[in-house]
Amino acid sequence: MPAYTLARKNGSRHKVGGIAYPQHIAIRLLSGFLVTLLLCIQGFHGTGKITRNFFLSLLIAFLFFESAPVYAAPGSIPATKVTIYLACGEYDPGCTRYSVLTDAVCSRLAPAGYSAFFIAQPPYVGFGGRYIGTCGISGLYVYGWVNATSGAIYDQSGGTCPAGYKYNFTTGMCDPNQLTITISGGTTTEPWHKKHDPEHTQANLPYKATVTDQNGQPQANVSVTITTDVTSDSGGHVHTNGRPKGKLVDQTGATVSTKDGKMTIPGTTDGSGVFAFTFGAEEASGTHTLTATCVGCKDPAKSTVKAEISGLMLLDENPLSYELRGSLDPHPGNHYFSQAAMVQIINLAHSYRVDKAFNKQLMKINDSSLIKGGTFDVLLDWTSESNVHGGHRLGIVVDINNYKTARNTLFEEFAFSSDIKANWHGKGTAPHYHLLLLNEDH
Amino acid sequence: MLNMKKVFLAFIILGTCATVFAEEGESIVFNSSTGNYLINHYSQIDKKFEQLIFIPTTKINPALKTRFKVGRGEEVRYGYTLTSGRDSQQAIRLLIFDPVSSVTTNLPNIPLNAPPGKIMGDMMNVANYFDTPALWNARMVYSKGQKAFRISWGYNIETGGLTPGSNVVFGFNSRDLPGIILAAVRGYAPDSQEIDGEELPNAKDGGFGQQYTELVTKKNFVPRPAAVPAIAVPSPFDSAVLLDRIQTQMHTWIGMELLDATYSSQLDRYFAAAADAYRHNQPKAGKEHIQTLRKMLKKEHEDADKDDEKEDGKYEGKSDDKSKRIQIDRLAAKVLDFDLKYVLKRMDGNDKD
Repeated sequence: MPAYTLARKNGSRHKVGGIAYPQHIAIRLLSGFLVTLLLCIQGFHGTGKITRNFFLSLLIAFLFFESAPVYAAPGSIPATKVTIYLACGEYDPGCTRYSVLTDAVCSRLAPAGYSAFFIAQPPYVGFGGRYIGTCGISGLYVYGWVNATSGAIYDQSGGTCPAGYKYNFTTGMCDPNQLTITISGGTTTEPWHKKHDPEHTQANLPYKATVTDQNGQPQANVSVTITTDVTSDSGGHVHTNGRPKGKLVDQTGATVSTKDGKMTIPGTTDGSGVFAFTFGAEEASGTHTLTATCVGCKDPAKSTVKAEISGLMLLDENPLSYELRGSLDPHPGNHYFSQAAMVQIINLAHSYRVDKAFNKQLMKINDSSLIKGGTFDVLLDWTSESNVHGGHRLGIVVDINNYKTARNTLFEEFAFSSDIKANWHGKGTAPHYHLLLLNEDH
Repeated sequence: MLNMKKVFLAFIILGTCATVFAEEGESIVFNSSTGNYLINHYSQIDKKFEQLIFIPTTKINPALKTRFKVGRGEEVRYGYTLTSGRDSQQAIRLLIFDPVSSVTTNLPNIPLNAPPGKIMGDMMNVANYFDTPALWNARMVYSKGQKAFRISWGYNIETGGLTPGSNVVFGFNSRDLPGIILAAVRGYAPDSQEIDGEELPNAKDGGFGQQYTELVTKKNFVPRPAAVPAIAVPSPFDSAVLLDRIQTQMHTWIGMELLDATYSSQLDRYFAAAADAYRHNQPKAGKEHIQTLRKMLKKEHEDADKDDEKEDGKYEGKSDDKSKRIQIDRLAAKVLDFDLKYVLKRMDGNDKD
């Protein structure tokens, strides 16, 4: 059971502990009613006249009522000043019908320190179940207004609680605002192409984290934290450790770049309750999760962003016409192509099979792209001569393993005859041809 | 004190060199004495600048002579004589036509836009019907987009090729009328160096990457105008539609600098009039407009209506009269006259008005 702050209505003293808050409000009201009733009966002495004891009884009842403990929400702090704008009215003797009183009556009936008057401000309609006072004692009933649609309490107390707190009519305390944070922005971007875009001016998505209170009002100057993560085994990679998680920057700078972004950034909401930031994709494709939290927010907000090349298609196996190779555990699907490149590689492989110059060999097709494109080198550590593997990001290039020692003029001209550039990758331990199926290298 | 000055001077020189090196960055420099390109490139693998000597496959001076005449039935016989100029520095190994609208053999026609891979064997069989000299290999694939064909002949041995001063003859048949494209001819440069082992620079960076891609990947060939099948004859025959297609093909020659735009506009008037006449069932009037067109061509090139038996094989971009401004290339005039003559032939006997 959670601990609650126990406090008097005016917040002059409080203690920690006790039992649950809602139940004790009812107990408090019931006990106040019973004690007041008992004293009133005694005050009449059965004469039917109002005696001095009657006023004394009222005073005792009022003090009892005022001294009855209430329980505040966790994190509540005393209010420094309270100005309450409420409505007032009275019940009939049977406590079955409520009548709204005039301004003058309400003002006269208002307890010390309270100013009461009528409020009829749309869209707040009707009287809700929050009241201070008890039917049958003084005829003073003070109600908060309840939004008929959202159920939110109409609250005109202003300047009485510090930022981030809200005055609680029942407890007389300043409760922490029940803030909500949401996150909005794009959902898909292409992976970053560092070689072509070293400053990372592309593959960035603008995002907004917005903080509102329980009434949907934007909250300024709220501290927020944004974190990015990446889903294991996403984007065609089966890697669990060390994957770059995406980069975050706030938008205070004139230039948006996530080149040097971080995985977690702090921020503060502006006057519109917004903290703007940018997510920057990594070179590897993958599914990222952005998480936004704030001080005073119950739950974090999450958003998913996919860094991917869409529309890539898997080259079917066709062992009579070509040989697929190079599939490894970390990259189980390595033969994905764009639609235009797919046509090129299939036609080329079939032509190779029947071309006189190649003696009915099968074309040995190695890496093209992963299912969602992006770099193969997810950990960005393939920098040595032996295993560099640039390109292969958009499904428009493919490695061919038929020639492992030296360039082959016939093959290069054969490729050119099909409007394909064959680039020799002779450095490293596994020389091969790197075909530019659409005559560009990505 | 003198030594100190030397040390100081050495620092300045070294610093200057380093600055120049860093500022130069990647570059491509043409060496006019060798015809090669010096490529200064930063290797991502070796983490240092490296110099490459790129030898383009364009150190050739090919002449491509095109012949076309109506053969059996409605087929057009296309023949090509590829001559390597005596000033060529490289052997020629590759000749490519792209796009070609159709070819005709004894085999079933290859459909356009067939599923990828399904008919590559059929295409290769069709290519076997092409006129192909010994040591050469004919190929036929789809042009990009699969809406036309890409036909090529490649030298079939790892080294060598068509030597300077020699020639070879290629050919095939088609039912389509000739248009003009720029054929690609490539020489032999086995020792050329290119960026090795890493992703190429950005082809759209407007700088080094773009220059490199243009030079090495996209324009490493010598273009030559060639007449190839380009205009499908409508079936059933419709002279107005065919004239429209011929006119559309003709307009592409302006971009190839084979046809003057103003002169093209003059031709357009008679094209429109002829097509309009045929649409209104006035073949005689249509014929007169076509004859006017042919006269215009003959005025530019006296032999525009002759079967071309010249064997000089030079670039056919010159007018007969050297002092006259070129309105239309000689090959273009001959192709256009051929196509117009074909329309007249098909309309022969249909004169009614």
